[in-house]
Amino acid sequence: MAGTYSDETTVEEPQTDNGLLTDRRVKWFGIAVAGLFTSAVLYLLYRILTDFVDYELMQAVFPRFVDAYVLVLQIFIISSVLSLIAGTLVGLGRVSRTRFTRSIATGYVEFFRGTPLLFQLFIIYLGIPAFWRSSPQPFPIENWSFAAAVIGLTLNHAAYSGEAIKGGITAVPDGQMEAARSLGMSYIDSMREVILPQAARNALAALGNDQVILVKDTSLLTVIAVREIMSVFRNVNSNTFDAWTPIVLVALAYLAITLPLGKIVRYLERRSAWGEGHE
Amino acid sequence: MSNVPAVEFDGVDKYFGETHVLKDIDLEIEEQEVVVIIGPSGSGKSTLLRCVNRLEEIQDGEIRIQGTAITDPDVDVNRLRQRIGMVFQSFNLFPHKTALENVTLAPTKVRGVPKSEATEQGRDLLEEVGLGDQAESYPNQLSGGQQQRVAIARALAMDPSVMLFDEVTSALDPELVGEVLGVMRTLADEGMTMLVVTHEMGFAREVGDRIVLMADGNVIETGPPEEFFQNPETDRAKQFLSRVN
Repeated sequence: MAGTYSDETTVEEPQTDNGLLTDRRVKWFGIAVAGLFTSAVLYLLYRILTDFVDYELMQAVFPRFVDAYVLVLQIFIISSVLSLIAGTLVGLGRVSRTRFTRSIATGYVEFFRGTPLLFQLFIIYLGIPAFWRSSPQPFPIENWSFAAAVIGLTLNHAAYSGEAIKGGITAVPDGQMEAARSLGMSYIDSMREVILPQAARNALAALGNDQVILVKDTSLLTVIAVREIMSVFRNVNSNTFDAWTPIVLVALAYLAITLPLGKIVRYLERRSAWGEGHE
Repeated sequence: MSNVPAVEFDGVDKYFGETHVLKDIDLEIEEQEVVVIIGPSGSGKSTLLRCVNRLEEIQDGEIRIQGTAITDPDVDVNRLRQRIGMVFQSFNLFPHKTALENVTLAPTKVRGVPKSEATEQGRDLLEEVGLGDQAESYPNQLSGGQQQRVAIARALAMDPSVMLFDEVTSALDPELVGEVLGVMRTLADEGMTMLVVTHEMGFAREVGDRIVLMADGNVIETGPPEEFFQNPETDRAKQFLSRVN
């Protein structure tokens, strides 16, 4: 009985596209549209970089963009980690068997998804220091705009991550929890060792998507006095009336965060293949 | 061996909502006994099994494992389940862990067995089920029969006193059934107490010490395999056997 079946693996490769299902006319139409689009973009980019970008100005304002970039990167990394931790708790709350816990988690998600992030940022940035107005002590936190930014982004994105993780948990077959529990593992151990790793993989695309949105949401922080990338843009633009020089720098700054982020997500996807498709 | 039964059902009733799925079940499984439960689908066989390790709650009566009532408020359900191994129809291996990690997870997490010791024991168990060379494979790299054998090794890693098998060959391709039944036969020969729900009549006849026929939530007939298969007493048993043979 032993070993004789070891070549019997159930891994089935999905049917690769052999061209039989494509339509030649559609194919050429696609190529034409993509080609046209690319040429237009490249032409525009060429004109912008040769005629509309002031490279002396670019050099002069570059350090300010670097400062803003570093600040945004810090805020992003801290909020990202915190929102994933908080999001896991929200997700666990959303699948709780206890109605009280579940409805609190649901209410949390409804509030933070149902009101604008801009509004939530003001609640924290203006609302919390307002509690100190009547007290003799001054508001104790010095760099409040940074802290408020992290708190606001974390609370907001914990709601989105939480929904993604909830979906990921729901997609794990019930048999996994049954198998873990029937081995004598506690609920917490089963969740941590068996359910959440699978839920995280199920939710990976949605979580990665949300992290990219988190990066872009930092552009709102200008309203709570964070010197982020867009605020530097507006400053440079209103002082020099040059549009394209700072636009190019802004694009580079955001892409310098979101492109590596996409790479990290794809790396995690590969790492959680668990033997699928290769070996 | 003591005279206390390994598993004892005492007037067990179980409802799913309005449906009465287990009706006043009385059944004793002795130490080292292999009891095979057969019967048409929907007869309550799997539910009976799932009540033993409290994947389902019973509404009335008592189930005792080596004399201890499982519904006793003093019983820690996690400790109880460590003594009862369970193997499922759909394998339920952890897809993100290798075969070896599937086997070592519970001993290290629950029992606090050191990793090296658990790994050694895990390799031995995989060897026993004929998968010593597949320790580093992920479940989706294994055939159904191999996965089910890993699942058996995983359950054995907690050193249970009773093993529950819930239609463990029903999801397998016909040519893979034999390897899983082979492992179960070895276990039975080694003296494991086993409660087996199955549609494999050949296995029931050959390995079972006692056959239990269930229908509509009742135990219809119980007896040693030779008697049961040769001369069933009840009409219901005759009817069932004529259909499966």
